Amino acid sequence: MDETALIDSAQHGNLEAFNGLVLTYQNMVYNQAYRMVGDMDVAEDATQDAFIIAFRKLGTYRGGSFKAWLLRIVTNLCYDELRRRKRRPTTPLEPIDHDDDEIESPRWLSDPSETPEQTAERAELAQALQYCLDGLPPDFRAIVTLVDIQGLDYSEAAQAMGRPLGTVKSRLARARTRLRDCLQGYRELLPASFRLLEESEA
Amino acid sequence: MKTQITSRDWEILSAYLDDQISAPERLAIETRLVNNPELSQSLDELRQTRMILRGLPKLRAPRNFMLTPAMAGQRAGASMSYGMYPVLRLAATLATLFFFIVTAGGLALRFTLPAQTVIMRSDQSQNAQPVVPLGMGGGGSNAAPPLAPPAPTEAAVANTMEKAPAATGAAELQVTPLTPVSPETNPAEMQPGVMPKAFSSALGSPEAQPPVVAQAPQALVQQAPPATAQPVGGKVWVFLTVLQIMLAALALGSAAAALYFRRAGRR
Repeated sequence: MDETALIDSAQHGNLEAFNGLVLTYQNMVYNQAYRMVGDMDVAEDATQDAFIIAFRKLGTYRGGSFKAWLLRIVTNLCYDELRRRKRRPTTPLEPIDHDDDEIESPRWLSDPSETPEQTAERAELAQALQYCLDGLPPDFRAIVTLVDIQGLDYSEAAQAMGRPLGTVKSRLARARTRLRDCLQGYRELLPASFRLLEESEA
Repeated sequence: MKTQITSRDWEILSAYLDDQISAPERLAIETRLVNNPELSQSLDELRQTRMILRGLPKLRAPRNFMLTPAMAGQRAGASMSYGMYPVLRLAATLATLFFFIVTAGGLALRFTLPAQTVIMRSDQSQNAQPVVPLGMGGGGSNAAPPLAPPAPTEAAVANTMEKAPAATGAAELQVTPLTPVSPETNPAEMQPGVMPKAFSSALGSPEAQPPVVAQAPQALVQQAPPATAQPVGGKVWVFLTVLQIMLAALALGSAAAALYFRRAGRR
């Protein structure tokens, strides 16, 4: 069954069809939530809540990009979480295990083909980038995640953000500029392949 | 001298990276990039930032986020309601369609049947009783049959009643197109001058009156459908009305049920 048929069926209350959509998009939604809030547990909750809300509000979906519609829901949930977080003590950036010890190199970052050093470098870079993302205002964080991490085009991002295209363009540029400034402090972490690719593209 | 890169420049550079600028803007920025190494370096930095972002590993969801009926807040039987909705919607549509067809058919019958239906009075013992043409639905027809004489004027009727008191006692004269014809009226006592013109011409002469008077009802009876026509026509009409009511009830009922199941499906 294709996506349109699944959506139509789910709109009529077919939970099985909706769960088909969940399986398709759960990684994307979880990624968006994690990049927005920087916390795995919170991202997990936000993802689950996003799908529950999506099922209940499916009647309001009026066509267009379903992916963008889902991302809008999870992004708004993350905004709420970030607003709540302002009123609470901050949580650690790095994931922690059951003994509350910080996980230096999370399991999801490991790649069997990499050496331990490469894995450690990549993990550090990812952590550095997440740190920089966390330093962005929520709107900037959302737009750069949608376009550069999720791979949405500008119009889909505008739909997911509920903002005009011009706003998306300007905020994306400012978000990238801020990230560039932030990453200046982690230049030693950038792998050589990035620099080589950069030279070849230039 | 160091070139100042404005926020507008950053915006154009960012859109240029994503190929989201117009052709004139592209030409302009490419010219500037060739002539301005600082701008070109800024573009490289943005490109690198974007590459790092795109190179971030895609996280796998730590578990499945599929919803259970409890999480979705669904009641038991919601799936059944999902299956019922299209059936009821179809039933409502068909019932509505048939309702309009039956209504249109009934109206067509109403306009075509009245000219053909002539119904005799139920009192068969009064064989000579005038025949009154009736249309469907009990309404009288204004059009008199071809053989019926025109209605007599009030004066003529009064005159007739004065001159034939016995006849009015046997069979009441009615002011209808056919009432002047009565076999029990003594034609000899009726004066030709009193009769309506068409009636007189139909009778010819006073001597010829009895057979002609007897023929007039006969002719009407021959034109009229059999005595069973009234019950059959009435039954058809009643049947159509009942059918209309049933179809309307079915259409409304199934539409209401479909609406209910649709809402139940969405909770």
